[in-house]
Amino acid sequence: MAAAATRTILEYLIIRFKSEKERQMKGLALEGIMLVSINLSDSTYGVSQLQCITTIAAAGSFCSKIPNDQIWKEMDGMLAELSVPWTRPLMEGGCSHELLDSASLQLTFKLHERPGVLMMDCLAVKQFIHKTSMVHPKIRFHYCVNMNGIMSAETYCGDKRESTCVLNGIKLLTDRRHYIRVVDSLVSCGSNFLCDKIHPVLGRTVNLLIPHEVAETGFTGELEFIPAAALCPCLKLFPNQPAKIAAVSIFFYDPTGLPISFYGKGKSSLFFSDPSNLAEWEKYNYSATLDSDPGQEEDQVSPDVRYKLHWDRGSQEDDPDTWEQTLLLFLFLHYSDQFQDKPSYDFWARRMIASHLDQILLCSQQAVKRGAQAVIDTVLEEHCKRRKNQQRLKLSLPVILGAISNVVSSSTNSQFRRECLQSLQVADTSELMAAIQTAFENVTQKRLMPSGTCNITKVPEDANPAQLAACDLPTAGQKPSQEEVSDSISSVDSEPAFLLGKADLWEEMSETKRRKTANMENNASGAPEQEPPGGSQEGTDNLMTDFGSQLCSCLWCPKDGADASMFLGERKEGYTAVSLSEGRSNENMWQVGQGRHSPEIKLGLSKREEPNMMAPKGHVLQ
Amino acid sequence: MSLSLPGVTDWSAFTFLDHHRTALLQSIKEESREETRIEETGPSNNIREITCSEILGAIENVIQDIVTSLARNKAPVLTLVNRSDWRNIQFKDSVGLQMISHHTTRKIKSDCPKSATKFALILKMLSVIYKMVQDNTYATKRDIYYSDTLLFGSQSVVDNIVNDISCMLKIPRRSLHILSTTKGCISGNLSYTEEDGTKVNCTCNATAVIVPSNVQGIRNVITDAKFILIVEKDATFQRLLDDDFCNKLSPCIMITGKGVPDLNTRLLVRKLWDTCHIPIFTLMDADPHGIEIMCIYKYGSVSMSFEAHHLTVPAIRWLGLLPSDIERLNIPKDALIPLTKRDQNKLASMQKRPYMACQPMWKKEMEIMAASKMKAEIQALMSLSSDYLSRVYLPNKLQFGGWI
Repeated sequence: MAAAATRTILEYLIIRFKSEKERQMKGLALEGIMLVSINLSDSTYGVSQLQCITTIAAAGSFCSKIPNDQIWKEMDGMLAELSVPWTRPLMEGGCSHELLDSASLQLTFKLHERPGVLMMDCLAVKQFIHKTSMVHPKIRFHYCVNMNGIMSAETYCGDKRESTCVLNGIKLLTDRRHYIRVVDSLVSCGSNFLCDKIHPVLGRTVNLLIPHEVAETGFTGELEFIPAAALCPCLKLFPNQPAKIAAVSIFFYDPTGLPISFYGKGKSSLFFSDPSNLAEWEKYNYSATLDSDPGQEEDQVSPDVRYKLHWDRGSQEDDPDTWEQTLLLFLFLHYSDQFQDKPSYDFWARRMIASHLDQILLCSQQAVKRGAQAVIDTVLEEHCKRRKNQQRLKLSLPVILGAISNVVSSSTNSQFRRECLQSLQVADTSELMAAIQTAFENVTQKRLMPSGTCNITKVPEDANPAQLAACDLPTAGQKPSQEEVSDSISSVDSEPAFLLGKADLWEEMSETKRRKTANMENNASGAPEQEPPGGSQEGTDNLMTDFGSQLCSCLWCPKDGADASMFLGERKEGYTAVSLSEGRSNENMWQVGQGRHSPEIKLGLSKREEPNMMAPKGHVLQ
Repeated sequence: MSLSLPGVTDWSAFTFLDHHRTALLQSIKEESREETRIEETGPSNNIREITCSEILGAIENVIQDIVTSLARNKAPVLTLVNRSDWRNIQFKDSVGLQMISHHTTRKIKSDCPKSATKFALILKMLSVIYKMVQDNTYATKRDIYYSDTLLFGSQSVVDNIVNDISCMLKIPRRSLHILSTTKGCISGNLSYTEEDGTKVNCTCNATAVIVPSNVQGIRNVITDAKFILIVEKDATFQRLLDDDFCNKLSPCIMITGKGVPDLNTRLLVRKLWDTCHIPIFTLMDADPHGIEIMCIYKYGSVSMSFEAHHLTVPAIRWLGLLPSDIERLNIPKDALIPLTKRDQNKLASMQKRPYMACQPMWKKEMEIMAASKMKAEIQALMSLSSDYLSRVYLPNKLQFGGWI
């Protein structure tokens, strides 16, 4: 219920803000700050329940011209529909944030729920915010959960990250870490450089027909959809690295950039149940099946629809070094009504679209199919071209080996033979051939090709996969420190072993990127990063956003939480108690919520620059 | 008319030809003196035989570089000269088109899909050459292509790779034990012994002799020919044979490369020049393509410029069919063909070539062609009379110095 209410209010506010912005000037992106703060504490209703106080606040230019009274009235009606009582001022015990003092809009509601339900609600709200933030990079979304004094906070904001403009003030964040986690496979292959971005291919606009039953409700105007597709992670830097597409993740956004989910109680999509609506998969040697449970890692945005892809390799053997990619498909709806002077897309229209989306898609099935297929084909053809190139390399290898073998084995020049064997430190010709083959495969596969469009960062070798998603996402109220920024970028300059031999390639890296790196290094040179007492920065950054684990520990072991806050009291401000538990997945958390035995929970410290962000239990947050 | 009975040409009337030969011999002497002077002051440019061990060593060096590169965890790369880049070519009057010493190169990467196939094929070819040199066997490019058609894909791929290797190793193709399939024909007052001992007599008869595959290996070249006539097209060559031209203007040698000459035909022309030092004339169509072929004989091609010293004969002269002959001989308009856009472009680009600067007469002829926008094949002379070419045109041209 908490999730539904929070989502409803956020959707309503964003639609109102967008509508107001459109009134001022078309195509402008929304700017401002939104806060969702959830305070969980022991309930007076019983031991099996927790009290949940949710505060939603908004500040910034987008609130200024909105008639507050009307908003309150409409939000009141919406919450009443959900039987959620709300209060306008901040309730005692909510999360603290400086925004709460200056917010133009602020409302709070209180619920009592079972811990398991609340946990899922929190995750759902977090996902919704994350997904919304992907297309509203200029809105700073603060999300924090306070559980008996232990707080987890995240800020989603695209200010510092690159985005690509899609349409009508909607931008799409292109930071790949929002979509997929790739550390494990990368580190295992010994390659720790990756492009940071996704490179979406924008499709053409497709007009959608309005189904009869939607038109009958009074819905007027025209609907269009624009597809965009990208492969994640981008492997342009490693053109010879074998890769396959393991999944297709589809994200659906309404005209104001709000996600539309096909999943939920009794929801399913007939259109998306047939994977052939999106591509002729068999043409690319793939088969697709709908993934009925698209739940992903909580640090990544969860897709609205997900397909599993199976690569039909024919008689070829499976290459263990094959990296997996995900095909991301973004479907953006656009609404216009030429008979209306003012923007007419409102909360009601969103509800209408969201509830009839499947009918809308089916009504224009062929057009949607053509539009989606065109953009997916572009991506898949590139993928196939890459595969063909790799095939060409593979076919060349035996010819090269055969030629070298012929010359070496038939040579009567003992010095030549000896030098060849010594170079590769082998005893005889057969060993030499094996060594040459291995060396060839190695250097070929790891070929690094500079790309002007890619943004390269180093993936730390000892990184926990979880930190990848967290490392670039500053927590509530925290601006990314110069040290953090420079650390991630300056690492580009420190060449790993396999790159040392590719100095010439490395030299080819774009000058712009070098200049950027140099600037950042200069800026950062005077401020060495401090190591937190409990371990590396990387290890703790990860855990700062590991809300699932924290909630786990809070829900199941409140005493641990209390211990943690006590522990924190002995430390300087600026550290957060976090769980080092590996039980990150939803499943584990669910098990904890269900009262199963919790995994071992450890406490670590995460350094944060701004002391007012986190405080020991009972400390009044500023 | 100065001609008498067939086979008994009165050469005393061919004073222009004599003067031309004298001038050629004089220039050879001067060049020889110049070369001696350069040799004394600088490195020798003399052609010397490349030994088998040198070839094997060169190939082993390539392989060793690859292995060393792999040992350093670097993708092997082959460096080839940009053979077909005009920027790598310089024109020297005495040689023709030759490659400059500081030429640009291109890298054939083993880890790049675009070049990996070429990299593999070059290595494959190197291993084939290595084996042939070791075994002292020879193969034509055609043989090599047919040894694995699936791998090579097309004959031109093999041809290109062989030339690239020759240029990369700085070893002439024939030294790599690769022979090109010969298509050229020769006829006339000439006899020689092939490398295997076969005695060949090209004395005029109805059928011509195929240019030998191993020109380098021929010896005992004997000829009394007063001149050599290079004929562009086989049809014209056959027609001249039928007209018994070699006997009418005996002694002489006729040779054709049947269009763009193969390496052996060019080598033979060069060999005959080096051996006999007699005037060499070309009989080409009066079109850009004909001029281009003539330039290949005389100055060499861009892609083989690295071997220009062994292939070009700058002493070659343009006998016919000159564009100015069209008007001079009143060749009927209907025997002419309009220049296509492509012809015009080719003509324009040829006029800009470096060697045209020292050929003002050629340039003038090309300007005439460009202005008239017409071209003519040698067969256009048949519109005047069926044997006009052999009976009137060529004897007159030779007798009165009608070459440029």
